[in-house]
Amino acid sequence: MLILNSQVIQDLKDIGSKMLVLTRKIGQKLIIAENIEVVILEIKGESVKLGIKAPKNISVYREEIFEEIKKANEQATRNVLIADLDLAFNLFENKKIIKPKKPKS
Amino acid sequence: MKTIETSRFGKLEIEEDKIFKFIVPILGFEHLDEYILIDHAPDSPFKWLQAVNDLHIAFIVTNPVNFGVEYEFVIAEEDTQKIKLTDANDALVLTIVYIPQGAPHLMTANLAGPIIINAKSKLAMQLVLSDSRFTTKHRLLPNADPKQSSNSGS
Repeated sequence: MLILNSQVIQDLKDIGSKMLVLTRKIGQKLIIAENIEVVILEIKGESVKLGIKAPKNISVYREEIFEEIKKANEQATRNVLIADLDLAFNLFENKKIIKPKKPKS
Repeated sequence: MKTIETSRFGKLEIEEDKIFKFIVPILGFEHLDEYILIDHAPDSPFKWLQAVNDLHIAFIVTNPVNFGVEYEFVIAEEDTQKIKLTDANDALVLTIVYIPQGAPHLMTANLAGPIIINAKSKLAMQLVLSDSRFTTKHRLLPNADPKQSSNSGS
């Protein structure tokens, strides 16, 4: 583990052994795998603004959004019953979907 | 031509040019990047997005417009470049549908993570939208009473 700031040592107990912990000042950067760049742009209170440069095939997500979509994907493919899909089709046909009405002026 | 054996559809013969390559995989399924679209039934708004390399993985998908959803969003340039999309007419927009067991009237679509397929380049991706109007659990039949049985229409 690479430690750049002695104040970080107290936090190490809470962090899994695989996490690299670094301290950066505003404007300083991290280079990941030679072609990903992370820069600290701004610090305001508890929020840090980060800038990330990465090749097109690399996607960067906010963790909570990533987790939510990942969970939704996993739920959707678990235990799907063909019978339920056929019933869903029936409901669609019975409903004769009408496009959303425009608000009255 | 490739033949695969699926748990839901039995043996399927797939033409190579019908296979879509996911440049950005479906989140949580990073090991899978090839899928095909299979129709559910004539006139059905649903299709199956079947993984070619894991036969147990298939998603029910639909274009939410089929259910009267106003679904418009901007795709950032770095994302259109990933799937080489230059003409919006080449884009097929699908959302993954979750049908709770025994309660199809409560089915939802993931509007926050649409699947975008470029029909021309055969490249595809799951796009993550940060628009707060779109949720991962949008009720496709919003007027259906959660307490009613699935047999009665609304």
